[in-house]
Amino acid sequence: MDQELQQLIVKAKKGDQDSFSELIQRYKGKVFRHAFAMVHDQMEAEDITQEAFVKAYFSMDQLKEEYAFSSWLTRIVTNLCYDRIKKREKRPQLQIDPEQTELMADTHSEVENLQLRINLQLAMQKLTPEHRTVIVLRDIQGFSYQEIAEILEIPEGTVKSRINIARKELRKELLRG
Amino acid sequence: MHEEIHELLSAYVDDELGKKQRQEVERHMSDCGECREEVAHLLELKALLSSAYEEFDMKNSNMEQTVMARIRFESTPETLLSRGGMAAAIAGAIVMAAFLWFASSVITKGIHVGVTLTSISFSLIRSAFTVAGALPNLLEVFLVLALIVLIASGWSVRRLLDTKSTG
Ligand SMILES: [Zn+2]
Repeated sequence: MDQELQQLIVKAKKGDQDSFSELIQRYKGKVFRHAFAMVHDQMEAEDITQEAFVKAYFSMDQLKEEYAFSSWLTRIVTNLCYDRIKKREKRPQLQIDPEQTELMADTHSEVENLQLRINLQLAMQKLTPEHRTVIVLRDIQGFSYQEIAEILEIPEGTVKSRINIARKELRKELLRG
Repeated sequence: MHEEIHELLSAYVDDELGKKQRQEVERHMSDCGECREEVAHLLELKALLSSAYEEFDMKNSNMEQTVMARIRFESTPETLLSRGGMAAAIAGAIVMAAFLWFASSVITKGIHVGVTLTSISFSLIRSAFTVAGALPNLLEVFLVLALIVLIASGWSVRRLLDTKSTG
């Protein structure tokens, strides 16, 4: 962790709002993509992002080590996502936003690749929240198994087998189409 | 042997195997086409995952301001209460208490209205924060909000009173 970031976290812990604001700026993209990959809804993901930072600010004193900020924040986001998913279980899931799709087609010319990514998002939604979470933490956020174990408070061996199973499920869903 | 190795491939593509296991996997792969193919599929999936979400971004470009406005709002109630807000808060509390009292006497209808009212208030507060992120003066927003809640509470009390006398 770079010196500057560590300083920001130390100051934010003491209640310095400018430092915390800078932390938001640094982490908001990561937090949003995590939430989006979990709930697949633009507004809800933005809402979770907002909620996560407010929650983080008011519980900064529970953060033991500065270097663990990223994992600690990710744990907050993970729990918020679980709560949201639980609450809306009865609601019908997924609408891939056509506007979003057009947006993607603009930036990526390969239509085939685009279709593949949409299929992947659909497949992701079929996974259980636990399986989806480990995939997000590993392949979208790039955490190590050890970090994931700390974030989810489960043994590293469980992380390893859960990722293995989650990938099998994901590929099964992808093939099913 | 193949089965055991096959189960290690997911951790292998993540580079999360110990040296010994990694060498075992590599030795096995050198003469197992199926495992080599599996590794190729896994790597493809990983690449797809990291590209599938990268272009998504927030529509709210003011996330910092929105969050900080909410934090300031939640952490300094005294600044809001010191100026005029106090009167509104007390009046609001009285109206709310009255509302709750009536609601408890008309339980079935009361609860329904209460729940709706609460969820309306919450979404109002939520959108107010988004607006507040772009506005410099939070106090105005709070006062307008308090007024809305007051009017809504007053309206529902009247409605409940009507319901009570007719029903
Ligand atoms: Zn094999």
